[in-house]
Parts: sequence; C-alpha cells; structure tokens
Amino acid sequence: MARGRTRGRGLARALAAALALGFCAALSPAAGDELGIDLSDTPLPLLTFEDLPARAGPIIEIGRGINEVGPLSEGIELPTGAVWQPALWIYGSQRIALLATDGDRRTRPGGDRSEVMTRMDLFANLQLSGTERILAHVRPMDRKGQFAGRVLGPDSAESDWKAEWDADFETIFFEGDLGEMFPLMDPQDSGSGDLAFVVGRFPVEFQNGYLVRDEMTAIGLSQDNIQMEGSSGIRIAGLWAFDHVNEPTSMPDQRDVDLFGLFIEGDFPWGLLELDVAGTVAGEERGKQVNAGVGWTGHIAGNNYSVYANVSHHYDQSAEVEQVKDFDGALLVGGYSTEVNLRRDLFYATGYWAAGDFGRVASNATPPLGPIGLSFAGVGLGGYRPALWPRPLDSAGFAAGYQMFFNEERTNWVVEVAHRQDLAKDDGPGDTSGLALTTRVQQKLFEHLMLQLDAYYAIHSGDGRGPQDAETDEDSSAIRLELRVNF
Amino acid sequence: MSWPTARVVIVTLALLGLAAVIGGENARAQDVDEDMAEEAEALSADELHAAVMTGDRFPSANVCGQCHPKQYREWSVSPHAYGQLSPVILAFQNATTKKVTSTVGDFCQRCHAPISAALGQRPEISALDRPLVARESITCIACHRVTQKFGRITGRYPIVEGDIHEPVYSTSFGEGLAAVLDQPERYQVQPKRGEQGRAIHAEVKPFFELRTPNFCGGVCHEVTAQTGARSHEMLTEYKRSPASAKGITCVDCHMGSVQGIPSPFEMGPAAVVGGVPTPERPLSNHFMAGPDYSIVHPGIFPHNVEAEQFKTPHEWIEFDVEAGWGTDDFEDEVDEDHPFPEAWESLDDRYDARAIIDEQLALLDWAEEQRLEVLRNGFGLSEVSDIDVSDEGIEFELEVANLTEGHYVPTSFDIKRTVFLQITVTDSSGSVVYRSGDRDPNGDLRDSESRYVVAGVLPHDDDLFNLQSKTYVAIVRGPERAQNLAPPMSLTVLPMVRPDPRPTLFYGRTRGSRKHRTGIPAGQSRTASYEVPAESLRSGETYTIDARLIFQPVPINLIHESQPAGFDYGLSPKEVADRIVEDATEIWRRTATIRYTPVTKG
Repeated sequence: MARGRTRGRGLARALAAALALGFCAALSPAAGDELGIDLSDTPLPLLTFEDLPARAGPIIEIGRGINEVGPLSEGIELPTGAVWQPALWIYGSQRIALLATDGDRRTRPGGDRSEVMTRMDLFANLQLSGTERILAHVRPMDRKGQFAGRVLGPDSAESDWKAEWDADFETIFFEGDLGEMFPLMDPQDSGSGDLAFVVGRFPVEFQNGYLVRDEMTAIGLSQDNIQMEGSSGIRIAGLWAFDHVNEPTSMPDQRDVDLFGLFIEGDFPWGLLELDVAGTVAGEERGKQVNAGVGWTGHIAGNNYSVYANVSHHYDQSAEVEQVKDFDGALLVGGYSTEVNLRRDLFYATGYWAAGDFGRVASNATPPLGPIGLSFAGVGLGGYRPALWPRPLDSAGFAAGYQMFFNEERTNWVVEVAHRQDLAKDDGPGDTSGLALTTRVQQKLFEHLMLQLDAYYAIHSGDGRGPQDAETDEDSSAIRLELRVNF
Repeated sequence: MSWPTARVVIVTLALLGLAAVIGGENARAQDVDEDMAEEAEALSADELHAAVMTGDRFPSANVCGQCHPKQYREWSVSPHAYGQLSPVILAFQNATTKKVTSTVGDFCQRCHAPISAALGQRPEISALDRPLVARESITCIACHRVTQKFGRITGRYPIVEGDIHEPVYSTSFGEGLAAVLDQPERYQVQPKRGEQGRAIHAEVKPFFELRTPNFCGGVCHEVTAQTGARSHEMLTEYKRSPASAKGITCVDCHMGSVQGIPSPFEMGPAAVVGGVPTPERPLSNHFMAGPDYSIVHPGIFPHNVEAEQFKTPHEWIEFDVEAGWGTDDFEDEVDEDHPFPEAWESLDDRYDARAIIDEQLALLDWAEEQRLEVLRNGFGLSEVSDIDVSDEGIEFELEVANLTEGHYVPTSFDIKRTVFLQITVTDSSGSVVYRSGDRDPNGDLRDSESRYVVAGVLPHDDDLFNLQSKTYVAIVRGPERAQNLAPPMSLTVLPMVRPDPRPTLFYGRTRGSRKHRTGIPAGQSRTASYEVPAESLRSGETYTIDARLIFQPVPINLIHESQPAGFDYGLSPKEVADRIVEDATEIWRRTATIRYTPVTKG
C-alpha cells in the first residue's frame, strides 16, 4: 500500500506543477480578451480565401459533398412524388492514446498500467434528401471494451500488440419524415402526414443520459412544433425497441427484452421541460423495469441551470433469478454553469444525490454519472477509468470545474474538483467515497488533427471497503495523451 | 514510478510541448491549400462576371426586368434581393467557417446567394466581387428556373441553366406569352437564339408548386444544417397552424396587395414588351415584405439597372451620400481641389449619381412602409394594462400578440430576430425612474450577451421582454450555454460539420446543440409584466409609461462575435451596429400616465 501511495504522489506532483504553471499562463495579461468590450470603429478587412483554413471534408464523398459549392443534380423522382438526391459521405475519427495509471486497483488488479490503444469510428451517411438518410457506424478496432493496442507494463505477458477487429454495426438506421416521403398524400401541405420516424439500431438517450443511454434496435416516431398555450413548441416522441436493449443487469442474453418509451419536451419562456417515461419487459423471470424522469433547463441573467429528477423501479421479477439486480432508486441532479469573463471562460458545478440502487432503464458502457463531471466519466478508449466510482448507488457528490479558452479557441483547458460521498450503510458493497482533481487540455493542431491530455489524482476512502477490491484506500492517478484525427 | 510508466509520462509531456508550439504557430499563420487557391484563381470574379453577363448560364434580373418592370421594381428592393448583400450574413458565415475548419461551405449561400453557389464561387468572397446575377441574391431564376418539388431541402436545389431563351417556370399556362408570340412584330420579340429582335423566353412551363407553402418553406424557410441542427422552422410551424387548416398559403399573405394578411392580387399586365402591355391578369407582389432592412450603400441596393451600368459597386461605395455629393448645397460650397476618388471627379457624374440615389432612397422609403405593414399585421401590442399602484410601487402589463394565422412571430431565422419591448417610465420633469429594453453603448440590449453586462459595467436587465429564440450549445459539463455561433467549442477544439450520429429528426435537434424557441405561436399572445419599485417613486408625482415594441434583424452581440471575420464594403463593426440600431423598426408605441398615490397592499 505504501508503495502505491509513493507512485501516486509522484504523478500528483507532476500534475500539480503542470496545473500551477498553466494557471499562471492563463491568468497573465496576455490571456485577456483581445476584442475588448466595445465594438471596433476601425474597418476590419474581410477574411479572404488565404485567411481561412482549407476545407476539412470527409474522407470519401460520392455525389455532391457536404456543403460543397457547384451545380446540383436534378435528383430522382420517386413514385411517391418525393425527389431524392443521393450522396454518400464517409467520415469519422481515428484516436490513439498513451495511458499511464498508478494505484488504480478498482479497475486493474495490481494498480499500475501503461498502454497505447487505438479506436476508430467510421460513419457512412447516405443522404437521400433533405430529411431522409441512412446512417451506419462501425468501430472496427475495438470489441466489447477491448481495444487494439499494446500494454506497455507492468505485466510483460500482456505486452504484445493486440489487434481487435469488429465489423458489427454500432448504429445503422433509416430516418425520415412521412410527409416528405409521400408528398402526393398531402398536396396542400396541411401537415397531416408530417411525422418523423426512425427505424434500425440507433442511440437512444433521454434525461441527459440518466434515464436511458444505449444503442438499440427500435422504431421511433416523433412530431415537433406542436402548439400549446404558453409554450413555443412541444415535441412528442414514442419508441418501441425490440432488440439490443441492454438492461443494466449484466444479464448475458438481452435478446428478449423490449423497451417502450414516451418522451415529451417543451420550450417555454422560462426554460426547457422534459417529461420522459420508459419501461422494459423482459419475460417473467427477469421482471420489468420502469423509469421516469422530469428535467428542467433554464437560463436566467447569464446563469444556466438544470435539474433532473429520475426514478427507477424493478418489479415482477422471479426470486429464482438471483443474478438480476433490483434497480430501485432515485437520482436527483442539479447543475449550474456561467460564463465568467469576456473570453467566455466557463464555470460549472453539478451535484447529485442518489437513493437506493438507481439504474438506467437501458444502458451502454458509458458511466451513468458521467454527465456530472469529468471525474465521473470515461473517455471511451483504453483502460482509462473515471477518477471516482460512477454508479449512483446510495451516494451523493459534486463536480465543479473551470474551463478556459485560448488561442482563438484552438486551445481549451478544464480543471475540475469532484467528490463522491458514500451514503450506504454497512450492508453496501463497500465505501465508494473519494475526492478527485481532474484536468483536460485540448489543442487543435491542423485542419484534421488535435491533441487531448487527460489526467487526474484521486484520494479514495481509507476504510478498506472498496466495491471491487479490498485495497481501494490508495490514492490513484492517471495521465493520458490522445492524438485524434477527424476525417 | 516504474520505467514503462515513466516512459509514457515523458513521451506525453514531450508531445504536449510540441503540440503547444505547433498549435500556436498554426493559429498565427493558417495553412493555405495551394490547389484550392489555384482553383479559386482560375474562377476569378472577372471571368465569372464576363461569362454571366452574356447570360449563357444564368440570366440576370436586369434582363427579366426589361419586360417585367413591375415585378423587377418590387423585387429590386425586397428582402430576397438583399439576401446576399448583407454584410452581417457574410461576416457571420465567415466567422463560423473559421471555427469549423471551412466545413460550413456553401450552407448559407445556397439560400442567400443560390446563383453564386451554383456557379461554384467560394462563399467567403465580397459581394462587390461577385458577378451581377450572383449579387442579385434570390433573383428571378432562383424561383422561376426550378422544376421539381424538392421538399425540405435547405436551399440545395438545382437551378436550370441556360440563357434567356430557356423556358421559365410559373404558375400559369403562359397565356400572356402566347399572345406575345402570336404577334412578334407588334411586340418586337425574337424567341429564337441568334436572330435579330428582343430576346425572350420561348416557353412558360406551368409549375404550380411555386404557390405552395412547401416551395417557400421547403426550399429555404425551413433550414436544417447537415449536422441536423435546425435554425428556421417556418414550414413545420405553418403545418400546425390555423392557416394550414384553412388552406391559407404563404402566397396569400405575402404576395397580395396588402403585406401580411390574405389579400387579392392587383390586376395588370404581366409584362410590358417593347412598350406594349400584355393582357391584364392577377399579378402577385414580388416585394414579399419581410422585417429585414438594408444597411448597405444606396448605390448598391436596391438593385437598379441604371446604377449598375453607371458605376461599379466598388465605385459606388466611395460616393458620399451623407456629405451631399451631387447636391447644389454641397457642390456650390466644395473646394475645387477637394480630393474626390477618381471615379467621382466629374461634377456631372456626381449629379447623375445623386439623381439615382434620390430614386433609390424613395424606393427604400416605400419598402419601409411595406415592412411596417407586414410587422403590424404580424404583431399586436395591447395598451398598458393591469396597472396596480401600491406602497410596493407601480405594476403594469403589456400583451404582445401574434396576429398571424400561419407561423410564429418572430419566425424563420428567429434565433437572431430581436423583437423586444422598450419601456421607459419618467416623472413629470422627464427624469427616467425605470428602464427596460434599453441599450448598452454598443447598441446591445442589457441581456446576458451584452459585453457591458458580462464585464459587470452595466446591470442585467431582469425585466427584458425579448422574443428572440436562442441556440444553446452543450458544454464540457454542466448546463448548456447560449452561443451566437453554434460550434460546440467547449466540447472540442476540432468541430466539423458532419451528420449527427443520432437520428436528429426523431430528437428534433443534435446532441451538441438545440434551438430554444421563445416566439409566439399563431393566434397566441404573451404578457410582459413590469414593476417600478417604490424607492424610485414619489407620492403624488405623475409618471408616464412609454412602451415601444421594436424589431431589429440581429442582436448587436452577433456583430461583436462576427467582427474577427471582417465586414464587407469596408464597414467597421461599429458602423454596422449603428446602422442596425438606427433603422430598428418601432412597430407599436403605447403610453399611459399614472398618478402615484400609494395604497397599502392587502
């Protein structure tokens, strides 16, 4: 344990020194706002071709490119009366990251780990018209949380390059508008058939990801701009998912799970209101889960607020199926953010309180508390894990951060402090409390290229009741550097 | 620290240092793509100008106007004719372009300058350097050379190429044209290429889609970016409106004889060919009033055949209208050695230019009347009501109503349309005791995007009533923030325009940003409440409440955020802002007088 703390302190010192130096630079006069408070009364030359960056277009464009100038084709008129102008765009990103962690026994038995890992996201968007399209997304270089790359240490047995290939679709869906697809059915544009729909496997996310966040095979319908007294527009969406619904139960077979959801969102002068409910039906043994949430986002005098209140309830479960957890609980999240100066630097603070074992109605691998703060979130690549345990489970916590922008927004830097307090009694899985200092720096390099540095130092509770390991009473730290190419 | 870990840390820090060096350098000197530069050079403005002036690809409105003078005159001063000339749209586009590594492309241009986009011109170039037909913005052929029902296409529709002899597409069967072609000697026309006579289109093809809301809304007034972000939602607003249920269309309210309400078309000849009018028929109004107004030189806008033949746009912006060039008052007093620009050294030219300018200003005055008409038919404002005088102060209300049946107010680009109540309460000596809707020294309202408010120099206007919708953008963590330029710079330093990975029609927005609507739906109203605190009041004093409902096309903070991109016509950001503020339209004004004799509440 002592050795782990020594390692953690070493990284922590390096991190603290970097932060101190950075803050000095950030607060220097040179970091002030170049534009000033008043509008310039000097004519400024219009940007010319030479002043603007070269277009960072997709890697493949067949047909007219994205926002590309020049004559457009007449398109193809369908028997329905719709006119399609097909164009295929292939784009995505390639990420490669170096990572070193110290003392993080919650995620890696043994604590130490260094690695280089890669991830590719490849999208193919077949645009058919202004509203209809087919989108497919594959991640060919990772599979089920395992990424192509190399473990550098300390376990030499793992140190060979490892390739992970996966041709499965993360997402593949068709979306469109019925009124646009069948214009002959509504020649007077009365709006009778104006209904958006989507079918296929696609990301489903509501209540900022607290209620549901998953990729599932589903059919969805929605209509917006529904007019109601006092509102500036209501959107109502309904969803039935029938495959790839990942309950947060760790059950291996998810194929017989159905999910139904109704999602309502309204713009009001006093803010955005979200009312959402979704439930799963998973057969007699595994029971049913229903989640409901209400969200409000408002903006008052330059201050931004949000509140999300969500509950989850699991019922009708057979007592014989022991591996299914009861995700009964509630999660309350309150957020605040504001711009603090003319440079538009940001301060944010988010707090949460979770009672019981709250769980999303369906969940992918992203941490449920990720939206709270960087300290609760992953990065979607390699063995980097959140600084603090990201499951709600009888706890309360907060994250408060400051984001600075430099260099005409080509550089930004976030520093965040976060805390998690375990509220569980002794019968809980262990003490999950912790305090973390997390930072992120992003730097744009060229038209397609950026760097991102993430690092944290966390102090975990010392009572030896960690959720996955008896030795979580160590400090932990991690640092990673990611090179990202968007194409 | 173990050696593998140390190696990773060392490499990380080294790469970070390198990144800082490269990134900083790159910000100072953007790389230029040599190939694209050559391409742009190859398609120089002069060459395009020459090609287009021949009318080989896209005929100018100047050509159409020879036979359709009424339509040309209405269009020439219309918002459609101004679309691409606005220095604000160009600066806004270029500022966004820089942030998203030029992936905005022609997105704005497809609606604001469809011919320019079809010609393949780079979007960022000055209006002064575009060929005439491109400078004409939404010119005649932008609607009358469209052949298909494209739906919600956000300006990405093809325009049929060809000279004036090519068919036009209209909402008639071409009876008028047939009458002309039956008597070619009388009308002195020549529908065939290469022969003597007045060039004329040989055919009118019926295209009744032009009359449908789907054409206006689908082509340009329902705007969805390639990311899935929505900025204009006029068509979907319409489809849920009472007007839609009644069968009232855009054309009924915006192309009739009265702007903003269903009204009959005027009767008259559709064309005057060789001085001979064609048979009378109902004529639509091609002004199509909108709330926007010109802030550019009157020698450039309205479009004017004579002005365009007389001087180039570059020369026109040198003509000093305010100083009185070309008037007796100025010319009689001016020194002989006054340093005029070369183009304006001739006294005769200055007098000729002044005659054109006077004509232009008269046309702009007419347009202003039309603009006020459409705004007054769209917005209603109650009298000052529910006045409550107590020991807590004076409370009162005003109700702003949407008088239309077809869409929200404001609508279309409502994330920038600024419609607000300016309230001033004065005592009997004229001293101001309360304000809301007033401006900071830049001309901005005192909202959360005023530079003076953000800097803490002026207090936030907590009572501000403003119907401008906002774009809210996700930030790294915590609740979203408002942004004038939509790229989510807090999430990534490398934003690009790419289709969203989520089904955006289903969500009605992208994951990174959303439009928060605060406009008033058709037939509804909204109440603004005010309270003048007792501390500002004196018992027995008489107070006057002055309430004005004001429209301006964009908030001034947009000018501030766009200013690094520069403004066209050599305008400074301050000049642009001042012109916007100066011409802001007062739609309605209400006043009330109150004697303050407080009564204890309750």
